[in-house]
Amino acid sequence: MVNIDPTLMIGIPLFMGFLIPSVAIVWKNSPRYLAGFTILFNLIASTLLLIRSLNAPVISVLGGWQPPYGIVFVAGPLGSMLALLISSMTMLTWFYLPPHIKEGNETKFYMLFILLMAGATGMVLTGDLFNLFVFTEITSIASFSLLAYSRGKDEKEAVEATIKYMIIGSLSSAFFLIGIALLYGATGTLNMADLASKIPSANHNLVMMALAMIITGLGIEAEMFPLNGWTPDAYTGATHPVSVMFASVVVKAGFFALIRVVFLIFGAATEALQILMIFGLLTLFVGESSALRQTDLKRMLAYSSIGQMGLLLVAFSLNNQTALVGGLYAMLNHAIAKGLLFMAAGSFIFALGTRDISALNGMGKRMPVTSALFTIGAFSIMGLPFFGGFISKIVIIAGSMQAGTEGMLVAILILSASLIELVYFLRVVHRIWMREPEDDSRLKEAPFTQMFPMIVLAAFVFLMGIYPQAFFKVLIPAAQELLRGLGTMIGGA
Amino acid sequence: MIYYMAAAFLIAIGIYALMLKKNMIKMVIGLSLMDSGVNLLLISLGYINGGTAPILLNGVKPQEVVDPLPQALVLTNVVIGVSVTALALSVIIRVYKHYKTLNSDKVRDMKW
Repeated sequence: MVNIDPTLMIGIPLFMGFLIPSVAIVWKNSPRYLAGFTILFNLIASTLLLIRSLNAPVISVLGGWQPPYGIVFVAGPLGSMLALLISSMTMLTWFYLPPHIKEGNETKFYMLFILLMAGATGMVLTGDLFNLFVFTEITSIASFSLLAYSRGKDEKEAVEATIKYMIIGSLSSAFFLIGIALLYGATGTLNMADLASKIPSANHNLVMMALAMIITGLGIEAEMFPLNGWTPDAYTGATHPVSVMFASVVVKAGFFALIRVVFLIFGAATEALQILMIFGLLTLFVGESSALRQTDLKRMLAYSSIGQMGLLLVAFSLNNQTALVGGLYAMLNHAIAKGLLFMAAGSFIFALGTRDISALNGMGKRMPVTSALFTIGAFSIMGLPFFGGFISKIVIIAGSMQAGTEGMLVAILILSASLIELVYFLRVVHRIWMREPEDDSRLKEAPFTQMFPMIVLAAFVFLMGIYPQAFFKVLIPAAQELLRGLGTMIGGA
Repeated sequence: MIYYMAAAFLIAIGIYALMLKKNMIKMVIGLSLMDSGVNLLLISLGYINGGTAPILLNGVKPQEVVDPLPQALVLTNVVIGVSVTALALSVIIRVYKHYKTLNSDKVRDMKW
C-alpha cells in the first residue's frame, strides 16, 4: 500500500496556498481546480492514514529532530478519523461553493479555504503543544478572513462579527500561549507525550493554572459557555459555505484540541472534568434555550450548534468508554448533520433572499428536494430513530448511566435538553411541510453541484442511524486511545 | 523575577485595554501589548542571569547558555502577532466604512 507522510497533508495545502495566486495571474479559473485538487489529495491521504493508524499509530518526525526535542505528528485512530472528517467536509463544501462566492475575489477565497483545512488538519495531527498553538492560529486567521469575505447585503453584519470574533479569538490564543508558557516552565518540554509523563512530578499549582489558561483559550474555539459570544454572530454573518466550515471543521478541531489537552496531557484530571461537566451542561441549556427564541434560521442553527457542543463536553467529561464512544459519535453526527442543515439553509436563503424562519412556510411544496434534505438533517440532530443522532444520544445516555446517581441526573438533563431541541426543530419542519405558502410559485432548486454534497451527507446521516457498527469499528479504538493517554505512543522518546 | 512581574503587568494592561476601552484601535493596541507580555514571559522562562547565546563554541558549558527553545517560540509568536494585528486593523477599516465610528459600543446590530 502507498504510504503518504502525514506531513504532506499540511505541506501540500500550504504550498498550494502560495501557488494559487501566482497561477491565477496566468489562468483565471485555476484557483477552484487547484484547491479541489489539494483537497482531494488530503482526502486520499487521510483515508490511507486512517487505515494505517488502525493497526498502529503513525508517527512522523519533522526535520530529523527526535522527540521530545523536535516536533512530531502523531496520528492515532482518533486523529486520523478527524483528519478524514475535516478533509471530506472540506471536499463537500468545495462542491457547494460556486453560486455563493461569485462576487468578490475568488483567488483569495480558495487560498484561505485550503489554509483553513491545513490548519485544522494540523490541529488534530500534531503531537507538540506549541505546534498546536501555531495551527490553531493558522485556523483562526483563515476563519477570520473567510468570515469577513461576505459581500453585498450581509457585509455589514459580517464585518461586525469578524471584529468580535477577532478580538475574542486573539484573546483566547493569548491565554492559550500563557498556559503553554507555564507548562513549559513547570516541565521543560512541549511534546505532548513527554508532558503527560512529566506532569505528575511537576509543581501542581503551576500545572493547574496552566490548565485553566488552556481551557479558557481553547474553550473559546470550542464554543464553550460563557466564551461563545462570537458564535451566533459569526455563523449568521458568514457566507453559507463558510458557516458549514465553521460548524463542521473549525469548531470540531478546536473541541478536539481541548479534549486532547485535557485527556492526554493532564491524564483526565478530575478537577478539570468536573469543571467541563458543569460548563458543558450550561452550554447545552443556554444554547438550546436561546435557539428556541430565534426568528433567524441561521442564528437558530448556530445556537443549536452551541447546544450540541455542550452535549459533547458533557459526554467527554463523563470519562468512561461508552460515553466517549457516544461523544465521538455525536461529534461525527453533528459535523455531518449540521453541515447538511447549514447547506440546506443556505440554499433556502439563497432562493428566498431572507433568513427569516417565517418565510419558510410551505417550502415543502416550493423546494421539495432541499426541504426533504433539511428535514433529514433536523431529524438527526433531534435524535429521532433511524438517524445518526439517535444512536449517539442513546450511547451517551448509556455511558452516563454507568456514572452512578450523578450520571442519572446528567442523563435526565440531556433528555430534557433534547426535548427543547425537538420543539424548535419541529417548529421549523412543521412550517416547511404543513403550512400553506403565501406564494405558491415553485422556486428553483439548487444546482446539482450543490445538491450532490447534501445528498452525500444525508446518506451518511442514514448510514449512521442504520448501520452504526461500521463507525464503532473506528470509534472504539479512538475512545480507548483517549482513555489510555498518549504515554504509550510516544515514538522514539 | 522582575521580568515575570513586567510580563504580568503588560498582560494586565492588555486585558484592561481590551475590556474597558471603547475605541477599537485601542483594543488592538491592548491585544498587541498582551502579546508582548506573553512573549516576555516566554523569554524570561529560558533566561539565565549572565548566560550567553546558545552556540556551543569552545569553553561554553551547556549550563551557561540560555534556553534557545523559548526564543524560537517567541520568534514564531511575534510573526503571528504581527499578522493578527494587521488583519485586525484592516477589519477595523472596513467596520469604519460601514458604521462611521470606531466606538465598539455603537457597532452592535446583532444581539443575543
